[in-house]
Amino acid sequence: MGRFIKTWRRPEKWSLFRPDDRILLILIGILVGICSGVAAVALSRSLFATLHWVHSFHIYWWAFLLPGIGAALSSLFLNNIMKEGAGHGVPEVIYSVSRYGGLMRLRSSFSRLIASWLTIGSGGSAGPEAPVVMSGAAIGSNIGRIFSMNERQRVTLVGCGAAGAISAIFNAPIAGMVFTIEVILGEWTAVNIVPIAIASVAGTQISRFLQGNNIVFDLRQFHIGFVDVLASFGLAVIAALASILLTHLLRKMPRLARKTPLPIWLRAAVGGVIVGLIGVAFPVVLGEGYHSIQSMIDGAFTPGMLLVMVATLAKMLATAFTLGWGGSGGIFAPSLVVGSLAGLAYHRCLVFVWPAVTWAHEGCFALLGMAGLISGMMQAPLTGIFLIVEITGGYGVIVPLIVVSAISSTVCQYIEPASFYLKELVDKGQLLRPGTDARVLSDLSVHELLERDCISVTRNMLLRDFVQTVQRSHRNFFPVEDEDTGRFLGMIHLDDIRPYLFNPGMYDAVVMEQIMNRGVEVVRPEDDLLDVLRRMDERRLFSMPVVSNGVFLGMISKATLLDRYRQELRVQTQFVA
Amino acid sequence: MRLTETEMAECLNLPAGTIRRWIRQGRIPIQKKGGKYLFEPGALQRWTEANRLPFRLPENETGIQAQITESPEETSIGSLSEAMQRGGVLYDIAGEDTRSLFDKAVGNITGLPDDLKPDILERLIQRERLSSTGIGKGVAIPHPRNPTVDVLEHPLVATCFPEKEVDFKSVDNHPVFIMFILLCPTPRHHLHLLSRLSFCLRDDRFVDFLKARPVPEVLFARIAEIEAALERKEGL
Repeated sequence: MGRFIKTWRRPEKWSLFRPDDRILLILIGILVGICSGVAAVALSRSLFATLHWVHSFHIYWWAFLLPGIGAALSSLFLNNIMKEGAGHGVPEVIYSVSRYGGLMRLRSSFSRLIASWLTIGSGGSAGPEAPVVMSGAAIGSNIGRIFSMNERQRVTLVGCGAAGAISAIFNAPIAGMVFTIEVILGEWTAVNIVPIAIASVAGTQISRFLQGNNIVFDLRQFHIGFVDVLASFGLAVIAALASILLTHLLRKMPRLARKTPLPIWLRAAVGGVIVGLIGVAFPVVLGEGYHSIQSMIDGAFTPGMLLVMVATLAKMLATAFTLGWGGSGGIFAPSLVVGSLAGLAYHRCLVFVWPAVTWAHEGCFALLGMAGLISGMMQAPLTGIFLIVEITGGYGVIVPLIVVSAISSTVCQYIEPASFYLKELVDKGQLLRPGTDARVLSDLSVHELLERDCISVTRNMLLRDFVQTVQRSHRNFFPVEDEDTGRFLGMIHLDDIRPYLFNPGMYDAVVMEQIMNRGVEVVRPEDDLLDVLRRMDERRLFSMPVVSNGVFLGMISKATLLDRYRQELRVQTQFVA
Repeated sequence: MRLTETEMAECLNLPAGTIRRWIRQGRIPIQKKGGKYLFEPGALQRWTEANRLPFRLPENETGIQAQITESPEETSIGSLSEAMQRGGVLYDIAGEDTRSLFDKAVGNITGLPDDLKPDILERLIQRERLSSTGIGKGVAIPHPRNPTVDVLEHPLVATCFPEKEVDFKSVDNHPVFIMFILLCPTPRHHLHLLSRLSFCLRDDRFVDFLKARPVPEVLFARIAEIEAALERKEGL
């Protein structure tokens, strides 16, 4: 029986899967897609129910306290029960993929779901998508662990989880797939795409099975004229600016919050109450906001131009207060709301300035604004395009949609080279996309590059004996060691002593200790290769001795590094059958 | 097929740490099972070829043997006594000057194909014109100007005793009583044999021994003895 379970947990040993793991990955990918799809549907259904229930309290004056209570509970839950930091989850997934081969904790598969349910359900301005991405990814990672998958396969399964979650929550398989590949993995290979696509399908199917095949935002057909395409250029810039502003607010807010001398859960409560107060004036900012988006697309959102502009800013602030002060949730849904508000505001401006022109329906601009915000925030134009096409079923607007997405992400990238998700990782040097210089150098270790063919000499050796050693050696470097303790004392480089080698008069007059170089730059085996290379470049060295606890281990040289670097790059970028 | 970690590292000519990491990351078609590495030789070979990595199965295994170029270090460079045996010993070579002497000597070397002889003779003379190969003490080591004779598989040293001493314009102006014609396939052989020979000739007793014109067997035995002593010393 035990033997059976052992074989069962190592499917790559089955004769069917031995020649190729692609079929295996696809099968496990389906399982991961279904599981993460269920998690996504669970969160979105419970949010729907909770928001409905909480809405009934909005007639009372103390309703503005509700988001504070929710955020505080969510912060307490994450920090004290789950022992995980707040955060929206997507950077954590990217970090785990780039640094730990997709290894994630089991509790991550539900912790963010509950925390974000508390935050958003009580009225906090955040989205449920990043939490479900994190939980889907954690489900994928842990299913991979059950089946003893290696890192490459596990990363694919993490992608499957994320794709399944996004597909399920939006009922949008292509968006799930594109988001995963563009944002989470950053690698387009056939081995990755196929299982992820299948997982997206599985996630979508399970969501349709559980809650029916509904397009998230039902849409009527828009008539797009040439002037609308022209106008979309302007909207793209507006959307880009809004993205930058929102990114900055989200980044500055935690710093402001950290300055307050309050415990973490109380900060979350303060942020939540502020959101509640904003919500009194602009109910549109509360919750995930899908309902408001629907009304904007339908053209049922009545406030005028100025009011919409203020509402846009209010939504940004509310999101920053929710997430920055310790609430839990993602920026996907808030970006959609901000985008549709910005689109609406832009449309009202157009109508105000050129009332004679027949513009497309205002819902169309709301939709374009959403695409602009998503593309700008994530700097992922394809995700923006496919997501909006799928959640609105509006293929008719594809031309201005592409214009807005492409321009918005380009402008954002120009102003802020790293997107909101990646900024932190890039700053810490932790963004290691496959096949890049940083990735190769972080995978290789000093140990793997060690050249051990150096002949060591003792400090009391005479030059005469050293000349004999030089004859036997292939190298120009000779480490000098203490004969009793074996401690590394210094290096002798042939170039330094060449003139004396041919002077027999000095053969018995000089010992190694007198001619060795003491203050040599050494590398420790645990040093980071990027750092080692930087030091080599600064001092114009081609090789350095590796010393561990005072003992010489070998040399590390740029020549060997280049050799191994190329090998590593080839192996990393090659398709593994 | 199963191999241990060290065997695997040898097969792929990679550090054991790299192989361990690649297996963990799933980049190489090898599985770890009970401390041993498990793989299919065919699949692994295809993979190494695709990644242009070296791959060679251990010698004792019967399977696909991937070829790998052996490093020159591993082939033995050969000894002086062997090269001298190949070249043979020639006594009483007649000749008034270097040219006629070389002509006779080269013509009589048995280990050399006849069609090569005119070319080698010409190159020996060219080298001699550049500067004398008489190294003193009555000894000369003629060799072609470009020291390599590619067609030869093994180096050879022909020992020649002229009929009467010949003026070689040596460094010490001693007339030459013995010459060693050095023909090697590579510069490495050339340097090796030259260094061995000059090591032998440093000893005056050996030069005196040569003056007695020993028979080939005795000469080769003496050389082998000196070489063995030298190798023992180098080995220390």
